[in-house]
Amino acid sequence: MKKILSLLTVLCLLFTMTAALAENALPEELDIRALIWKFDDTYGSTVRVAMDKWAKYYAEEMGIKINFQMYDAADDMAKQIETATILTSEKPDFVIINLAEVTNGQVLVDMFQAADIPFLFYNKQPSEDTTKSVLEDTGTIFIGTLARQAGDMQGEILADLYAKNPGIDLNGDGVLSYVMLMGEPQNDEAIARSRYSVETAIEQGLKLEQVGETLVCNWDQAQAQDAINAVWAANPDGAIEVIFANNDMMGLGAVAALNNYGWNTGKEGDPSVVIIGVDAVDSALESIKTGGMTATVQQDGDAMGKANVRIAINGALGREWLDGTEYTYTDDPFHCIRIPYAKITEVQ
Amino acid sequence: MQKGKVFNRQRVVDFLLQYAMYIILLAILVTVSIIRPNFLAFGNILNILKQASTKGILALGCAGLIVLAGTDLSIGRVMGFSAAVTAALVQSVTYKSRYFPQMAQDLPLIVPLLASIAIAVIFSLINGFGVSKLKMHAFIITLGTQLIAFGANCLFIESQPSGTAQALSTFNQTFKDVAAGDLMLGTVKIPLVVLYFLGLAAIMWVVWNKTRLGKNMFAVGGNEEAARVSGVNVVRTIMLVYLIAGVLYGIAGFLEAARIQSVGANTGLGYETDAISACVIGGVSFSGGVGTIQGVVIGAVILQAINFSLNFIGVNPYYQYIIRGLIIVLAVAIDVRKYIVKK
Repeated sequence: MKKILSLLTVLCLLFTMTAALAENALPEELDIRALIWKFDDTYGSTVRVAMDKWAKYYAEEMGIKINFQMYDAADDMAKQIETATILTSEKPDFVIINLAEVTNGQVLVDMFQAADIPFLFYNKQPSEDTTKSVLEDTGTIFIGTLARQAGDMQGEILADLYAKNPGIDLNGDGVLSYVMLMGEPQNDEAIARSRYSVETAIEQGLKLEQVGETLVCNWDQAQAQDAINAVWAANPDGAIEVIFANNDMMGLGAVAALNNYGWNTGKEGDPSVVIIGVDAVDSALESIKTGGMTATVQQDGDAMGKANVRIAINGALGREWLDGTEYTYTDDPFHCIRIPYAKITEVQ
Repeated sequence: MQKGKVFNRQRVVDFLLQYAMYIILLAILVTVSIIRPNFLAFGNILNILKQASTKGILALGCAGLIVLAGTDLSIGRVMGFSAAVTAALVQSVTYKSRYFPQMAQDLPLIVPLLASIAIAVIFSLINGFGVSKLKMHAFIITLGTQLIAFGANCLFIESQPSGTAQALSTFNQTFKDVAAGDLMLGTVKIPLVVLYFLGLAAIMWVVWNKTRLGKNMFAVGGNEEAARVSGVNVVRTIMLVYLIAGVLYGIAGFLEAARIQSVGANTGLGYETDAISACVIGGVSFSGGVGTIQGVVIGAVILQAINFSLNFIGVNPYYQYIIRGLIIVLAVAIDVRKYIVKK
């Protein structure tokens, strides 16, 4: 009897222990850090806010504690490397990287590999000549958008608009005169958006003609406003028919400038030109609703933030990148998922 | 005879030095209007004045600090913060993602205006305290407050209840009418902001030329020790000049929010360059003790006229940077020459 009892006790113990072990497959706590290229970037901020939100969400869902911390590089690669140095000694479970300088991924990769800390890249894709060593050889994953897709969609939106209403060609000469508001000169996104918005529109059968020089306004609303204010004065009353803006803030700057001339006010009877932005920030949506901007392309910051956190957790637990998710790899030669853009031409 | 000739030559050189900036810049404007004759349309001139107004108000504030042989690197960020606070308080109550969802009706405009001024005055007084009491160089203390104001502004903008970090926009109509509206004179629309600018310039002219504070400011800027010995309360003078600058920055932030129609973390970036350049072009000397309000007003207008005309004739943006840089270098070079001549 005594033997049976002790056997039972042992069996019970064993059972609870294995159960506990199974539970322990998830650690109590995950330490995830993120290196951010620039805190005060509008779209980047949306992703940051989303990452915070989704880190809390997944912590609750999985019943673990997730310590999530972000660091600002203030658009300075040197500062990002300094932060990375600190991280290599603190040994977090995972690092999410938003490069301050796309050509410099190798430095960080070397540091984190030496310290045996897994990592992923998002938003800013390591430059082409570093693709092999930074993305392929390390087996890491890149979570991004397709830089040209935003531009493509801007062009498609314009083609659709023209098909529906040829009246956007104000002087009816069959050629749309446009102005380009560009973000930064050497920025991949800015270059792709400036190029493909026009190329795609032309591919879709439109005739376009640029007015003046490309206006480089550093993503900034006030700069775009001042630039359009002057360019419109030189080419008044509908000599400009379309304004492409690399982001919504510059598009809003264009609206503010045109309001000054009584255009795009949204008031009954006031004339307007086509203004297409990117980002779908709230103020742009409001502007589309009230007749200022015409359309925008949404870069889904929330979806990007969610993917970053979900995949980082997989990485920290040593699982496959896409384990338990619905993402699919692109056909890039490295692990990569791309969060799609969406067109917004109407706001309720 | 010989002597008279030399005398005349000296006078011509003096005259050229004195007005060199105006002459060169007018030459540029004339060139632009030859290339594009429609440049000198009345509407364009109003546009330039409008664009110059908020930055001109900033320049009116920082001119005093430059007369005190100081400078202010925090202008842009402080104004950006002021503008953000203004924006949060004047958002249309029907806008879903507004900063204060509990706000059910438009606040009287005096509230955002005072809030905006309060923000700018706090930072300005910190600067003034650092310069007058702690004897810090204005460059250093304002560099510090520039960063502090920027950080505080980012925190402010990111604590939106909608959980985003987006620019604050969609303002109520009263605000837009008062801060960015026009005064109709027959068929001519005069932007109110231009009138505010000129009004504030008039007040500042009185402060600089007709009050004890103005005289003391020039005395302290010219030679602080001498001013102290002759009984000027140096600390009080400096603090008051900074206080006035803060009030002007606050007003500028209020008006700029209305002009650009939405305020984000980047608002105000680099405005100090424009404000300081306007002062320098207008003949306010970095050596301290020299400057006039009318110079600052003209400096601000000329600077924006250049910015406007470069875009108007479609100059490549990279050349625009170079041209603006050259103008600043030239202005300072002439400023230094004047100083040497004076000695």
